[in-house]
Amino acid sequence: MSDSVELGFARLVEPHFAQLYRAALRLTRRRHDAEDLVQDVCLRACGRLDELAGIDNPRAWLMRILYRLFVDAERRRRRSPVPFGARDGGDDPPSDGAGPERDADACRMHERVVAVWDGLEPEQRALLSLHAEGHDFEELAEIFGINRNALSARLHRARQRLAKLLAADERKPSLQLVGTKS
Amino acid sequence: MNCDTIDTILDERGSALLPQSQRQSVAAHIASCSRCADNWAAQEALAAETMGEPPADLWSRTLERAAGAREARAAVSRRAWLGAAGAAAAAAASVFAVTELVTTPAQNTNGGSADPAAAYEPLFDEGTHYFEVGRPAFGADFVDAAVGDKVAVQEFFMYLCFPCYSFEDELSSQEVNRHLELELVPAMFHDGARLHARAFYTAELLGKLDEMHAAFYDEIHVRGNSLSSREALAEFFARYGVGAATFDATFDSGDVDSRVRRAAALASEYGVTATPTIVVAGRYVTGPSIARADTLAVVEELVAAEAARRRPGGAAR
Repeated sequence: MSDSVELGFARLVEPHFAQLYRAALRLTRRRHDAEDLVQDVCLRACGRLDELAGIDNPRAWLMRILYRLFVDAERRRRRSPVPFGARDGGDDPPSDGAGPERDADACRMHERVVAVWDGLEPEQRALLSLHAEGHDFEELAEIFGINRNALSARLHRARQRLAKLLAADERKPSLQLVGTKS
Repeated sequence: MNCDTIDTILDERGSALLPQSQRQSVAAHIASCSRCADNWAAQEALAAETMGEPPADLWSRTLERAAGAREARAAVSRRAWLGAAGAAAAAAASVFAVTELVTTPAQNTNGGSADPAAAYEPLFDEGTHYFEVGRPAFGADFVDAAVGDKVAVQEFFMYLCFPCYSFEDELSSQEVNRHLELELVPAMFHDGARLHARAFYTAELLGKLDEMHAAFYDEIHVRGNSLSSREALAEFFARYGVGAATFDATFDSGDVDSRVRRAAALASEYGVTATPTIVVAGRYVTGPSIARADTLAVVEELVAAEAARRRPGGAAR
């Protein structure tokens, strides 16, 4: 890569790289998928550095690409002949290498979210993930291209869907036997 | 405290910031409201998760991939747009220098010695990445109209098709976009797509397509409004200053009828069965259902091949 492209890349993309990765990890729930996704976002950005340099909120721009690539990939995956859920690799821990400070409750909660995560629509996963990652309503509206009211309604539906899935999962006998019911 | 207030607190992720008095009110409400209790629990579950930092080497690996991708794209362009001498010279130059050459293929003299077509080494294969078809009867007018360095490219699309949405966004950002004349042709695989095809040509006839084309996709894929009825389309057009009477008259017009018939005939002639399907120069058919992730690169190569073929001394692919 030429020096000027590398400099532009470092100036415009690197400041948001960790946040892109955390959002990707939350969306995909798999470390390798998250790495692939965040790299794909960066490759797109690399071809459009001039455009990226001219916009007010590069983080929202990058997150919008992340969201679109994720939804696109999920839809293709659902249409593929490979059975749903047959992706390689297991679920990754939510926090890479931060083990000691994670308490048992957080770990158990994470396992429950992972267990039901694919039951949400890709758009719902994206919305909940970016909301949980701390993006405010203004930025979320820019990323998803909808107004505040629509955003609030969709966030509410997504949260409610997750709540139903978690409640249904909690009622499964196998989970009750291992004592995950709180 | 009511359900709306709880929703607002959840929307604003404000649970950790609540004063003690309000916490008690929240607790009292969710103790008696299963809806809010479940929603609260779901949000708490997400909030309890902490995502880790990226692996230490991920940024450097990303830089390497980006460099590789830029070089691969430049290499495709070099093969396609430059002759052997030009390519050899460009190989030693920077990516930016190559880009400059690629943007002005007509000015490239290839060192004055190489045959531009002879230097062309295709990366993609007929039968694997694209199919060659006969000259279309219906699309020939558009194909013939693209002159000079511009190559006619026809994209069969549906507004309901998410890959079409992504593909157009990507195509518009690429260098090859400067070298092609794009005709969008709506595919009509079902009633919803037929309705959207009429809407597409309505917008075209009213001179609103530049303004509305991306907005159609956004309305469907971002805002979740499938525009699945004539009434919904009329309301959508109204947002762009098209009144109901104008919309109705154009939507039902013979001009729209004939454009829709041409689109259907064209799709039939090219054997379009999936979207997006891309036809280059009326001869080569490709798309994600054939070339998968290589589609954009295949289009770039086919456009460049056609441009090379037209130059003086250019050979048939």
